[in-house]
Amino acid sequence: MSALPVLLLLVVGTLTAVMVVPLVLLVVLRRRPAPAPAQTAEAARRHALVVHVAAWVVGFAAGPLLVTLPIGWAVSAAGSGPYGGIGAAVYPAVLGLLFLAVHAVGEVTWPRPTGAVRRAALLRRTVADVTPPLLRRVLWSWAGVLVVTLVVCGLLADGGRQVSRTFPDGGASAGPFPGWFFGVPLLIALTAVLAATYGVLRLVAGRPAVVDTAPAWDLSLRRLSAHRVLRGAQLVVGLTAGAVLAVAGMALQNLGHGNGDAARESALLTAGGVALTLTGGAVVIAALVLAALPAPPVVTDGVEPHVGPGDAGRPPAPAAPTPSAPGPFAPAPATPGQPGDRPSASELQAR
Amino acid sequence: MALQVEVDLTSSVPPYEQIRLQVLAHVSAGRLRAGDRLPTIRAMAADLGVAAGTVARAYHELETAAVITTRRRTGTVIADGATGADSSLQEAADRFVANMRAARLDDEDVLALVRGALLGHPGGEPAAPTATARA
Repeated sequence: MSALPVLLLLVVGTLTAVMVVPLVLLVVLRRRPAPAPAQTAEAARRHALVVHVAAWVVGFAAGPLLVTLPIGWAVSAAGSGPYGGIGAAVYPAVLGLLFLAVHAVGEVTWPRPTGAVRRAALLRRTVADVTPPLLRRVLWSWAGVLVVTLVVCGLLADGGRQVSRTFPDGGASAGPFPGWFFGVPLLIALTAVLAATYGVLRLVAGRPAVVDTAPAWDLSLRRLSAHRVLRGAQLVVGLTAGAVLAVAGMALQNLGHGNGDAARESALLTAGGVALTLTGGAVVIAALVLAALPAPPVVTDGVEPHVGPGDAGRPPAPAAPTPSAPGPFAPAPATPGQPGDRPSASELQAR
Repeated sequence: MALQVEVDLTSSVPPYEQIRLQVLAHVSAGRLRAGDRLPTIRAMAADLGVAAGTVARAYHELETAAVITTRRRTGTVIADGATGADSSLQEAADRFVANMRAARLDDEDVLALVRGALLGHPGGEPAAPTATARA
């Protein structure tokens, strides 16, 4: 196989492990957030931070070691075969799936509500409510760039792995080129990353609310979690899109140079190749910068600890008085044996 | 400002009934209006840390009373016919509660006062059907 995919593998792995991971961890850990409104809120925020740091360490620091070694072994085992290139192509997506898996575990293990008094906002939370619009658009943009590039390259490619020109007296080919040979695994990997991202965002939207905080604070913490998920997801899709553009650009440049034969040179192909390579580089840099940008802080302005309606102060968000006995509203007749007429076993455990 | 429901697991009133009564109270007070969307059963159960069946039963009771309805596209919403009390009555209730808060009475004391007043005026029937009446 060509040395280029292996080179890309090393570059991407080194870039993420050496530059991005410490930078993101520095940004995340150096921030001193405003005091949380309650102990449960502080515990929830700490849980979210631990999960995020673990996701970066497992996904992008330990991940390269976990993934690079098997891929390196596969490349050496494949010898001059082309399949090592597929491993290099889907490498960022595999790291991204590791990153998202850690986030999913963190959301599934989110602290359950405790205590005798529980509160819930009468709000319908959807994935759109918790997702930061900028990063969502960026993720879809990188995905769109990647899909369009792979489809166009797939249509242009010759044999799935190279691009060719014909001349009256022969032809020339250049590769590796992201034709269908690389494009199909990449599209599958992209679908997996997008599906996993949506799944984790659904977990973020549906996780238990933090008790003793205002709904605005809880929603703000969900948006912080969603930002952290999207930060990693857009990074892997952006790196993949940038790398595909760069590889396609370099192949076109090689084809445009005509193997040193001035009669076979094509300024158009060369210029197109350079433009694609530069665009790929810009996409990679933009994805790296967006991954390192700090998330918006959890809102604290105007958010007070929840005051129960039985207290003298007015609650920040009204909850109807909790009845302790049948009052002005006639209770519906309870049917013995039906769920909900007494705290269930899981509720008692959660107290 | 987001509305909330609050469940006290130590209360003698079952959790599903607390949820039902509080949704009903928000509708009666006009804070929830026809078409307002409620959380999914799973989401509210997760927020409250109770079994999904608890919330499902509260929603079932409310749906039976025509306070809420479930639509295929929008999920569970406040039903079209579920209206709060007359605005002048709502304002009177607000003023009453404000006076009670100013007197630093807690919820139980306020409710005891209302129950006492109701006992002094038995047999009252609302002029028009409301969410409270249908329940």
